Amino acid sequence: MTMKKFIKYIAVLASVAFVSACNLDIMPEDSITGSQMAQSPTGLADAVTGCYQMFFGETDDNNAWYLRQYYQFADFSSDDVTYGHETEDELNMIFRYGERNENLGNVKIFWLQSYKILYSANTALSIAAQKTELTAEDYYLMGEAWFLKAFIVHSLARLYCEPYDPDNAANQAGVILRYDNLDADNKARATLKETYSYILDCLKNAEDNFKQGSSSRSANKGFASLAAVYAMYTRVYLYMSDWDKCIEYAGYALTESGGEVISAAEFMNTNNNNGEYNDNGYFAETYSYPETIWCCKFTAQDDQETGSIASMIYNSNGGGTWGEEGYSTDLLELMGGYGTAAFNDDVRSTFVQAPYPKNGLYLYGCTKFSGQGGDMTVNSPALLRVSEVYLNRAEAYAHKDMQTEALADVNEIRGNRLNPSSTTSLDDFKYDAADVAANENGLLGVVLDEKRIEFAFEAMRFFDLRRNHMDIVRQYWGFHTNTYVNGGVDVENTLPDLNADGITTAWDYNRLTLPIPAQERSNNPLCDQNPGY
Amino acid sequence: MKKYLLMIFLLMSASFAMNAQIQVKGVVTESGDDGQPLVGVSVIEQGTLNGVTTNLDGTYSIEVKDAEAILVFSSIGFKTMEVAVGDRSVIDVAMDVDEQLLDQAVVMGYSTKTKGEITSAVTVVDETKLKDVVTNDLGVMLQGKVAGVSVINSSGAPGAESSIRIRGTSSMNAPQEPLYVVDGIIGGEFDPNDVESVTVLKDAGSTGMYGAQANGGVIVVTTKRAKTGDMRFNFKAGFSVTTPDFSRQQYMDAPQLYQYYREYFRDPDTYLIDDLAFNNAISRDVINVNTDWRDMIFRAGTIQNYHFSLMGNTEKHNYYSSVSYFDESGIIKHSGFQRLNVRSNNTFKLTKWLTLTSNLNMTGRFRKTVPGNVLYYFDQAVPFDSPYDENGELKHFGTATDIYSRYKNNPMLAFVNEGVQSNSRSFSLSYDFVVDVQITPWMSFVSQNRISASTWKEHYHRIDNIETMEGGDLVEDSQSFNYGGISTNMLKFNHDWQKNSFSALVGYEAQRDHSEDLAGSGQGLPWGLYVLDVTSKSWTASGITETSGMQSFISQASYNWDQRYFVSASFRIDQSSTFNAANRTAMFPSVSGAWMISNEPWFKSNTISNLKLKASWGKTGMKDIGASKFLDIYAYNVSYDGTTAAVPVQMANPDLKWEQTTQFNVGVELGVTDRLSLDLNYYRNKTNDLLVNRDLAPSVGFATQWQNLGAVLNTGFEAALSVTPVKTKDWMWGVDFSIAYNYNELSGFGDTRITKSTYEGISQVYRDGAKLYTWYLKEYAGINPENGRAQYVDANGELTEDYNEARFVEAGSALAPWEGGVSTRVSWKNLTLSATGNYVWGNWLYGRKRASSLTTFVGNSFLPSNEDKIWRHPGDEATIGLPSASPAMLYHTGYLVKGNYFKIRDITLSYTLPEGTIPNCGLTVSLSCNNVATFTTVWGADPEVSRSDDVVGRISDLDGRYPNKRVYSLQLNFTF
Repeated sequence: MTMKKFIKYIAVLASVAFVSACNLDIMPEDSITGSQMAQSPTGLADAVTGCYQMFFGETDDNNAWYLRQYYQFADFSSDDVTYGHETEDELNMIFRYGERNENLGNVKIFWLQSYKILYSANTALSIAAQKTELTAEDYYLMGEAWFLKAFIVHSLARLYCEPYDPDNAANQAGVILRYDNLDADNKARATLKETYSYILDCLKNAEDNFKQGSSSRSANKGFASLAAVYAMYTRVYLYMSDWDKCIEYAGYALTESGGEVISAAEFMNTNNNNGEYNDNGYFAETYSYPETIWCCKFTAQDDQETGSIASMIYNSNGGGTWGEEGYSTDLLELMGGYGTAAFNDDVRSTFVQAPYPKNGLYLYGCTKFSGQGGDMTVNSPALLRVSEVYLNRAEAYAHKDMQTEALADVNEIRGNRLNPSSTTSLDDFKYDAADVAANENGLLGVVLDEKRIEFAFEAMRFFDLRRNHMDIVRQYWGFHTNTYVNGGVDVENTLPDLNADGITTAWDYNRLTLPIPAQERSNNPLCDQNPGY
Repeated sequence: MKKYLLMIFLLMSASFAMNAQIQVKGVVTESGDDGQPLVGVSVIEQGTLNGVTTNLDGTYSIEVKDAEAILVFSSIGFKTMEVAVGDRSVIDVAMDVDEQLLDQAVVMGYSTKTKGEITSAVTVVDETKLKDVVTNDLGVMLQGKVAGVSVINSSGAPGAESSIRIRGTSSMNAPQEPLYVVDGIIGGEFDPNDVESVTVLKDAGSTGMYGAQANGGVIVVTTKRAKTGDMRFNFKAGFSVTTPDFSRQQYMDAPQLYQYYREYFRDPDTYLIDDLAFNNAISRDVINVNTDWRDMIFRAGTIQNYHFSLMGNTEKHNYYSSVSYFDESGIIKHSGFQRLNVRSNNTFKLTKWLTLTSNLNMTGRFRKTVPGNVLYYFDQAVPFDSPYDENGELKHFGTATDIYSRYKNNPMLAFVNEGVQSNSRSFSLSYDFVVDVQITPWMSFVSQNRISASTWKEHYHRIDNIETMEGGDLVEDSQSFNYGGISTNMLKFNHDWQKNSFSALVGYEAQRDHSEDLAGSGQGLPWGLYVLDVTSKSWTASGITETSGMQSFISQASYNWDQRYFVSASFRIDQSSTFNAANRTAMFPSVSGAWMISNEPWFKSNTISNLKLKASWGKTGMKDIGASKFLDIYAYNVSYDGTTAAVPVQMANPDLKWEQTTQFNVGVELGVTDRLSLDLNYYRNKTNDLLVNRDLAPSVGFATQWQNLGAVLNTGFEAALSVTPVKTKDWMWGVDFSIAYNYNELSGFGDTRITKSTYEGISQVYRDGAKLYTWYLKEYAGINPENGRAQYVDANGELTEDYNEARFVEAGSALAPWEGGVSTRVSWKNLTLSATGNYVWGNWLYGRKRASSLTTFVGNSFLPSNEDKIWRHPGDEATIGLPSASPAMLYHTGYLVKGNYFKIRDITLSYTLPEGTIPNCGLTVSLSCNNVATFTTVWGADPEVSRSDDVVGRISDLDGRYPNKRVYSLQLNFTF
């Protein structure tokens, strides 16, 4: 090799190397960027569908997901659930209001996931805004995006804000509103009045878009629909104490959804004799019944196992769930007392698990979040049901002292809740004026009691109490009583102190409202903390 | 390209100068009795560019212009000689070793220098100092031996790797591990038995050449090569027994726990124990159960390692081949590690001007571990429970009665048989191809190339009865295939004239890496089978690919005059795919210089053999935060009800750029005869634009975002002292001592105050003026002697018993300011005894295990330390409060402990057979103990805490950590 040839070789080699490695624009292969989303023909649909996925998508571990907190924050704060076994899981602080603090991971995860879903819904809407021409499918998807925003903001407001006070909402703290993704990072909380008015704006946009749109997605109850928008209106107006609007929109919701309450035979858990979940009743297949207006559709792959909603409230008696919580004795008494004839007459007693010993007492688990595909920890939680619309309207009527209308709506439910094997007549089972007179809270009491039974473990009771300025009375055994002396004596059949004092908590106790997570406040100084933290 | 053209021009002019008349040849040997021929000695006609180098047999041949010519013979580590040609045509030269130059050649990565030429903070650890530890991990070999290098082994799991930090920690989220350079090329794999020497590059004077990859320092590893011409065989065998080293962690036995447990029944108001309730709750019979859970799974482990090598050197070929096998059975049943490594190094001296090097390394690894969270459950199980029922069968805690452990799962179910295990297998291959063309005596072209590929497979097993899940055991397999390449092409220059010595290099480097991962899982295993394809349900599949690339321009120039004044500079430009095109390019300059005072003519000393001042300044960078962190990303690896879905996973930050460290170092080297050497260095490194995965206000939709924020200063000094107090014919005693102090401070955060927290809320704060990893916790004020309740300090500085009222305070840093090591070596004739230890002082760790406070349930059976006292009655000064008033899950400063420790790492006794006992054979036998003893302030855990946790310095009781091990070994080293 001559020297010249060699130099040529170096030069060629160097330039080859330069060219071959020069391309440093390397994009990920399993994800795309925001601008690519806008170009993608399916970007809008993918972003909207992604919002639903985040209802169960895990963040840190299999306990840290949106719907688990959605249900636990509401139900474990209420008088419906017994805290049967002390845990290091932060759900401990849901029961023990006094130990709630701004550093709790579950309080943060719910907040974070809520805003992530909002971000995604805003992304979807901005993709739509960039389109030159919108199809019926696009309008439908925009309707879903607006609906999701309304649902998420409202779910935030009912946990992180005091109950809406129509006379004072302009002075109550709401949540941080994210109108679009161009919002500045740091932002103060809106007032509760602004928050609710934004929820209504979102619902209005959703309504308009659904009316202009159409999609094959309407066949799937896992996606939001116009009926879901109307049902959501009834919930929001109820929380705003706007009874007339609630009644008006209940009418639209019932029309749009068909208004069919699921029958007792379809609803009940037919497999209850052995205390197990049913694998073909309503809660095993929420998505296939007209009763469901909107649910979060799980598949077998989305099983959260020990981190599932069922895990804490269903005792598998062989592993797979924790089974540390159950129906409170108060609620069981309202249902007539476990095992009584009155109790058994109501098909809703079939969701109560047979008692199992826990820390010396008996826990009564709940089967509502089990059974899909025969799997103990899979269910597609029904987030909006026809029954809720009736009961929302019933409550509005009750506040307006319209007893006939209210009882008619309550009986729409009760007429479908008598156990077919019962000897009681349906008329006796339904409520009348005598039942109203017998209830210490009168007509409102009748409606709320019915809702308590119908929606046990479905994230309603806690808000219903606080909205109506009713105290949370937990005068029963459980680890919610901080003063419990004997500790978590993990010995079966040892009786803990049954005489331990229960707790009654005033509806306006400020720690019933969740704290704003510390991470929000340390990075966003404009955001104020709730009182009491 | 301009540079290349310039070189070509120089090259041309050089060839014109080759116009000579007198032929001179000869042999260059080393002076002394052996007179080994010297290879690669440069022979230059003084005052010209005319020169040659000697061949493998030490011969040379050169044409000089006339008899007046003077030949200059120079070679690294030898005194340069000038010989007048005169009328001779054969000139044989014997070169003297230059002791003043401290002849040791130091491999610096892209170049090699003599120790004397070094202008920056560099430490060389040679083979003799490396080989005294039986391990498969380089970190363990370096522990306590290099000032400013901190090594942590947080796990004794077979095949576990230690973590290495050079000169403190300079980043919040970007990786801190040093860059490895094997045989001159970035990256690469090696067997520790094949290592000839390790060079640790600590300051920018030397690491600046590695630019964007060198923030964590550089460790240059050189594998073996034949030194002599004869073919040599070497066989090493080692046999070890290992035992668990729990440091100061102890568990209570059943009678102890029974007494302790009784405290749970102390009434918070009357302070009396309710024995009725206690006896109701627990039968005295539990004392007889007395299960030692740890004893059930721990055992004495074993290690066998064999290494066989062969090497030799002929005129054309220098070779080294080795095969090694390492087999460890862990101190926990069913855990183990095997490794097979094959290396072949070949250097072919094809012509006078062309040398090819071809190195191949293959490694296969097989690791078995205990599945899932089993170790955690062993940690939490209490001695009241037995894993066996009356018939001696393993029982299922979920259905059994009278189980006291807080988790209702029997971890012994994981040890039913060996099929239930998690394991990983990997195979990797790397091939280096280096072309070295000596274009002229003073210029060469070097092309260093490596291609590497590796594949690994992990198998993960979760037992349903242990993990409280339904549907049977879960099996998850993942597989990864990675390949990549790096090519460095350099022109190197070397020219000495009169008292000047100049060397330089300029080149281009490109690297690209690609990985493809695939994972699947399934549930439900038939009896006796444990692989993925027999699972019956819940199948999942996922896969991901990632590519990264970088290209760089490199250059370096060094000059010295008369071995007295040294100056060196380097300049590197890096471009990486990690960043947006606009922020992709970064420049890394460095300059360094040294003054060898002891080489000055006026410096006359018989005692001081080496006195050198050195200083360096330069920049390095960091980019390894993973691909595409600057983009806004919507992931498609999810779906909703069978419908394609995209979820936002990352917020855009188009401004994301390099994290850069500006480093400054000054040092002094002092050598007193051959008995004492001292190396002192002061450094000041400031890292700007930290790559921070910063917490955001979650209301923006994301919890974190990668940003450049703030700066961290690391400044400190290092002293390494090596003394040989005794050196006689039969006796030798040497002591090495190193100490390093590092001060760390954050700045540039402005008003920003970042806290990083674990899921539970244990947090550390980042703000101006604070140290890295400063704890930020609720302030604890001890147990109230009056009522046994924990007290805190509230916002007003008042005592409170309400945890929620407690204020957050900064409380110490998890970074240790003081670290160092000490080692000693005594030999008498052929017998040598050596010992190594290291120490860490001044850091704070968060350890919930220390004062296992009584909460409202039996959490575990950790034994409280002697300093812990349980509160019983008003007036008690206690550290453990009344259990019924102690909620679980409180995190506060009361759990912080000093992390000081001193560990005796290693004691070795070795005997070498006197030369000639068996002709042509050498044999060394050594006995050693590794991880001999720990002296520490930390109770309840090993003070070597993992640095990879989300919050560094946490003695986690949730990680089910695999304890460290003590190793007793016998090593045989046979050469023939």
